[in-house]
Amino acid sequence: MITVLLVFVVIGSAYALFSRDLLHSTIVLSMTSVVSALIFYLLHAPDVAITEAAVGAGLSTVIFLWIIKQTRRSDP
Amino acid sequence: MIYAMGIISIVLLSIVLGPFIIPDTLWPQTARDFLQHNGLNDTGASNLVSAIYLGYRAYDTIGETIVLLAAVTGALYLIKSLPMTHTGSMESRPELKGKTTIIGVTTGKLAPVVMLFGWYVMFFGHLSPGGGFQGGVVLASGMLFIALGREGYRGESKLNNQGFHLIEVLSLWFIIVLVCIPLVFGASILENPFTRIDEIMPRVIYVIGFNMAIGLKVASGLTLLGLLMMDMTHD
Repeated sequence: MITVLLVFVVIGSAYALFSRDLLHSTIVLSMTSVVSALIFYLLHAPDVAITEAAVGAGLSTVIFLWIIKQTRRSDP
Repeated sequence: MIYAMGIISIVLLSIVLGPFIIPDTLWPQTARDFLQHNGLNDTGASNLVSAIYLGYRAYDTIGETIVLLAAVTGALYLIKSLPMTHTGSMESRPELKGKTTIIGVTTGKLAPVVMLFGWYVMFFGHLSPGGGFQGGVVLASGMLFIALGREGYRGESKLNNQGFHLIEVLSLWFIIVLVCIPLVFGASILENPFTRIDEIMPRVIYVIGFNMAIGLKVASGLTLLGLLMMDMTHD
């Protein structure tokens, strides 16, 4: 279970790194942090899971989306 | 280039993490047993993570809040001094085009629920997972949702930057007062001052106060950063 989720995290991170569309990168990064919050919860660390979900999936996604809206969407 | 950097970092990570995964040794148990027996009595928090970062390692928490204050102050200074941008202009903004139903529902209906969850995480940080920092971040997410929704109605908005800065500075003062309270009661600094009393309630109230101060400080600081970035106009 944890191995499957970790493989998902690696694939999502690689896609977020290499994608040319910054909006896709941001959404995949948010999904990745939700999955890693699930991993933290499965490893009996609920405090870290709450932090990861709130910071990774909530706050930083909002800020990234706002910055993409203010600048360009594509990575040159 | 970036592929080579990725491969190098994976190799380095496996070199670092390999010795922890491969052997079958027993994990150290001294610190775990110590915390399990003394955590509630020493700090008043039955959640052991809160017991560590508000009791045994409270210096680190205070340093972290001061770092956050410095970051917000620096961002405020930079944004105020940029010549091309201006903050807080109320008039002559074009109407937001992407004002759809889902944005309205998310910002109007979901944000109060998110903020309520943030308050819960802050208040019950000594019992359940969570604490000041996590609750503050959740609260800041809720307030940024509201800030996203109010963008079309900027003139009648009550969210302003001065209030958030005031809340942040006041909660820093509250943290400093809470740090100094043990000196009055004859305990050492950053120790929970009520450990010599037999009742458990004053200790718990002290920990809740600490959690609330840190949560308010984190929430106001992060909301202030978000609002400052949203008020920048891009030329």
